[in-house]
Amino acid sequence: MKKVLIFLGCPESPIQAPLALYLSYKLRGKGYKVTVTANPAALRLLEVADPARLYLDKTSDLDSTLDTLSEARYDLLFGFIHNDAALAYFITFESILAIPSTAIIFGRDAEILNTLEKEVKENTNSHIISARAQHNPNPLKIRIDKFLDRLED
Amino acid sequence: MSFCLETYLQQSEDYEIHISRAGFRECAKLIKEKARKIIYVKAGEKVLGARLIGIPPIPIGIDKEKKTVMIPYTKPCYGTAVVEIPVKEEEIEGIEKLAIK
Repeated sequence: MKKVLIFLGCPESPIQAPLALYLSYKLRGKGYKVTVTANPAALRLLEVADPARLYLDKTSDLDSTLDTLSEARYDLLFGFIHNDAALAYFITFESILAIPSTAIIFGRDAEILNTLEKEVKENTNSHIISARAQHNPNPLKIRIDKFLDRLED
Repeated sequence: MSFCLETYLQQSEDYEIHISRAGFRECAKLIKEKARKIIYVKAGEKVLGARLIGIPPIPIGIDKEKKTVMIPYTKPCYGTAVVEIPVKEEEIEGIEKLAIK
């Protein structure tokens, strides 16, 4: 069974948690073993929203995940990026794991969005899913669906 | 026992924060401007017991006279800071071995 790591940034953006649950659910449906890693606040949001673990599989604290991370420990990496810190974390995860990765970039500000996209392009080999979105998860959901359709089961 | 950055920052006041709640690029620039000697390491390299987060190559400032290192320190909700921490000489030697340039 292929293993996926989903990294979440700071939980201040309202669309991150629902999209993370959605992505986890869809990947589980495709037969992937999914681990979501984030700081404690971001993980609590997911865990409270999914008490029966219908969408989530494994959750793991960001610091301990990073501490024990090694090359190729997972088969696929997704990262939710809406600020500079999340960008730095995603590039670090990508650099350590050296596996196929997808950056999900979002936010309200077009200029910040462009900067984040540019940095991901310059510093990783990641596929980019990007949309100007703050409260409405649909623009990203549509792009995630399109990407997952092409992902092998 | 080896140095643990997380514990040190929580339990000690003997460090200097040069900038906080900033972007990684800004912090990297500050290290390059302020440090007496700079080495660069890969993203995710373990330095002082913690993985360095950032866009590679990640600069680390070294001051052998003061026996301090200056590193970027990132947290998801707080952005990146630059902290200067006193360390033992052997820790500096260990960090220098990680240099990629």
